[in-house]
Amino acid sequence: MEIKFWRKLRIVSQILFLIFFLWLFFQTRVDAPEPIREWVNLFFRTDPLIALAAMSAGHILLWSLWPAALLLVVSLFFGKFFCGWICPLGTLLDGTHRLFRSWLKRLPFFNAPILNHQPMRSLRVGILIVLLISALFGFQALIFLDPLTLLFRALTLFFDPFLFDQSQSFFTWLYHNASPFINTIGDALYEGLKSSFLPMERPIRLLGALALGMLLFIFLLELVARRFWCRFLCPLGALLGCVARYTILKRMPGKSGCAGCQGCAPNCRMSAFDEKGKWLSETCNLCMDCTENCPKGRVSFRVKKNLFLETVPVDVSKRFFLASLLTGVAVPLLAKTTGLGKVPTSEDSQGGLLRPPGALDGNDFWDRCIRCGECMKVCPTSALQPAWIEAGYAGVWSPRLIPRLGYCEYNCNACGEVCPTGAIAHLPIEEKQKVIIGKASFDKNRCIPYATGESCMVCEEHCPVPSKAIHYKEVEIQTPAGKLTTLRQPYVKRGRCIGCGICEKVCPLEGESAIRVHPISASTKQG
Amino acid sequence: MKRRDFLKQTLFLSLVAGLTPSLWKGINLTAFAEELPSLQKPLLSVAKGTDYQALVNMVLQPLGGMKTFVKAGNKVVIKPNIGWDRSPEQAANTNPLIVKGLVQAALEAGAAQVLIFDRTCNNAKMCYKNSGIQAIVESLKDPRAQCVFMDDRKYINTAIPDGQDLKEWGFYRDALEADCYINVPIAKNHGITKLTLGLKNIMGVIDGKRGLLHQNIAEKLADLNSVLRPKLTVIDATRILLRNGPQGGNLEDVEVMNTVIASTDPVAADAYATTLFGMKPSDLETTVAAYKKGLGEMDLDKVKIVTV
Repeated sequence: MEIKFWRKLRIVSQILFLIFFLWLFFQTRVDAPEPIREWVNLFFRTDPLIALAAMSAGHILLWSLWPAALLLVVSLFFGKFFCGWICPLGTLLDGTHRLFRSWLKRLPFFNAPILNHQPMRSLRVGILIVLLISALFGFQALIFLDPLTLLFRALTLFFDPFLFDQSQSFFTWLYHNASPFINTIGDALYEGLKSSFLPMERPIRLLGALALGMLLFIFLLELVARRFWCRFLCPLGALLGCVARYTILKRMPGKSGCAGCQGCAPNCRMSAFDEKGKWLSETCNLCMDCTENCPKGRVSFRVKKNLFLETVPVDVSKRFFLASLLTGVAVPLLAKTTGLGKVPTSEDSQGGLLRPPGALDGNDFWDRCIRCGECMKVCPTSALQPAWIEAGYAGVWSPRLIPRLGYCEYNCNACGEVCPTGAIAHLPIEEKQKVIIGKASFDKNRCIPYATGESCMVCEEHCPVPSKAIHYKEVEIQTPAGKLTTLRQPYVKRGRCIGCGICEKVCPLEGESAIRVHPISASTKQG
Repeated sequence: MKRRDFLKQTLFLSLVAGLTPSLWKGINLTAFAEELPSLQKPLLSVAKGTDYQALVNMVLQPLGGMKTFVKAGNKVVIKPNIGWDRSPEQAANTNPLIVKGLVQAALEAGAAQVLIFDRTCNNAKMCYKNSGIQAIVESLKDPRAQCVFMDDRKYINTAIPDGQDLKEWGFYRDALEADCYINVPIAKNHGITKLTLGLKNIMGVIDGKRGLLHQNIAEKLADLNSVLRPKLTVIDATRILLRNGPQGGNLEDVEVMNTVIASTDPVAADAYATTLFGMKPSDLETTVAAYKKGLGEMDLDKVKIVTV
């Protein structure tokens, strides 16, 4: 087959997988049809970095992550095709490069030669080692560097609310300003968007600017070198590169630099050639550009005749490797010593934060959570938000439940359904409804029936526990005007409360709610 | 001679005057009064049965059938309670069969459009689905009947001229502009108002932070109901929630009553529904406040109750 055909196929593949990734993102919702819901987290389950990190931190084999094993095996044979053909972040980077290509030529620092030398070329392997060793020693937070989670978090925390805001502004303007005829079309369009891409209500998502900023920074790095992130920072690329070294594919010619032509290496987007010009299978992402660019048409990729795995020397110095290992051990130690949050924590505590129902206990949750953001995207009530450093560095980007922003819907277990690693267990609804997220309690200084003698009890109205966890006493009080009247004053039946937080959400007071949900300690069940 | 005649005439007239009251008692004045609309008692229809869909037509019959309310080409709004993420057996939302019966009756009466919606308390998509109401409207496969989610652009800030507690509030445009607005609540227990019936169902077509309405709620509901007055109130008492309302969850809190109430008088409808819970109409502050505002009659002795 014409070798140039493969390049075109690669471009089609990149676009299709990007669309697929985005489509799965938009399908991460509670009203997605049954069979689709099971597969929305497919990309995360296929990610070998996530699989390794989750399993080493959690000290557990996760069978649901078998697609990741499959990808590793296929990459062993066919090299780093994931980076060049599948990765949605890679596709977006390639796309932006095309847009800014003409400007880049004017930048003096673009693609500086120093980038081709050590230690720059080993940098991403170093990051990989630090990430995995930290995870092994109980600090998973660095997994936020996984490219798929970076992209998904930016989509969930920034683009989802952004798209909603912009469409709502537009359609509201249209509603009040356009003719009825246009509005009939507009209404249908708005309704269609809301049942497919847009959420029903404006999602509240914290840390949107930070998530966007991190993504934009990666795009900004494209001004320094093409695919800068992929070449120097991406730990997933580094991992795939480790197995891609043994690929059965061989590039013909095996070196850059035929007589009179130095075309391949300078034009390679991944700079997949070492100082001597030898083709590096652990860096090459099989984009097939060189096959098209070669003026003599000499470049092609073939299957090796000898398929036995040969020892391929590692391109990382021993010193560098050791330094990475030690850093990987040091990071968890440092983080746990210095990164205490606002409230004192113990080994099994949640750091003062409420967790999604079905979340693992204590530090196990932060070990297993790979910070993908799936649970936050699917949560229908905007209850799940990313934590920052409130509970220390270990919990960064992991989900926490903030009832005042959103309550946990009684009949919903979507978060457990989409979690790729089981950091949030997929509990059947009946079991999930019995999980104690926390316990609610009243601030009687502010609660209206106690504070001002007026009737309220919106909290009791919304309590979803069938036997109700909020009850009331009928008391006779004197109003400020001096009149004697009967008033219903609510109180929490603590034993029944599951901490869903709808009471905290609906309390009509301005500012903090008069009824708040607090976490309870798993070991003593005290809160 | 003239004095005798005068006395005779006076005596005769006095006799006639004295006798006529007894004659009047013989004449059925109530039937006479019914002819005069201003002296008419509000009519309340009650139907009992297990075929819930058929109950709708049965209960509307004494009121003259749906054609009394819906004219050909009308834009109809049927406003059930879809507020909670609960199944029909849990009696937190209006029974879907009752909704279906009303939608079909409206369509048969010639409605050009029948909209069904509610501003839910739980996640809207889950409420519409688990209540069974969205599916049953879609099963009619009639493009005129649409179970729609409410559009947050469509609230209109409306003045409440006789408002004692509220002077203005946001109302849903489609509800205000309907040719025929039919209120279809379910009768349930409620921690704040004791019971939630027809008058409280208006909460589903208003904008804003509804939690703020729960202080002095009876007065506020009366104010709101003075703006949007349904042509017909149909109270679903096929299953009623006796405890832990308004969303319940426990089937033991549900009592099957197989009853549907219908009236043009929303206060009378609420008053009658109250008795199903073993309470008196005056027990509900909401009913009393609405009556005092002149929205209807709460004394069941002054209501004509027809049981089908």
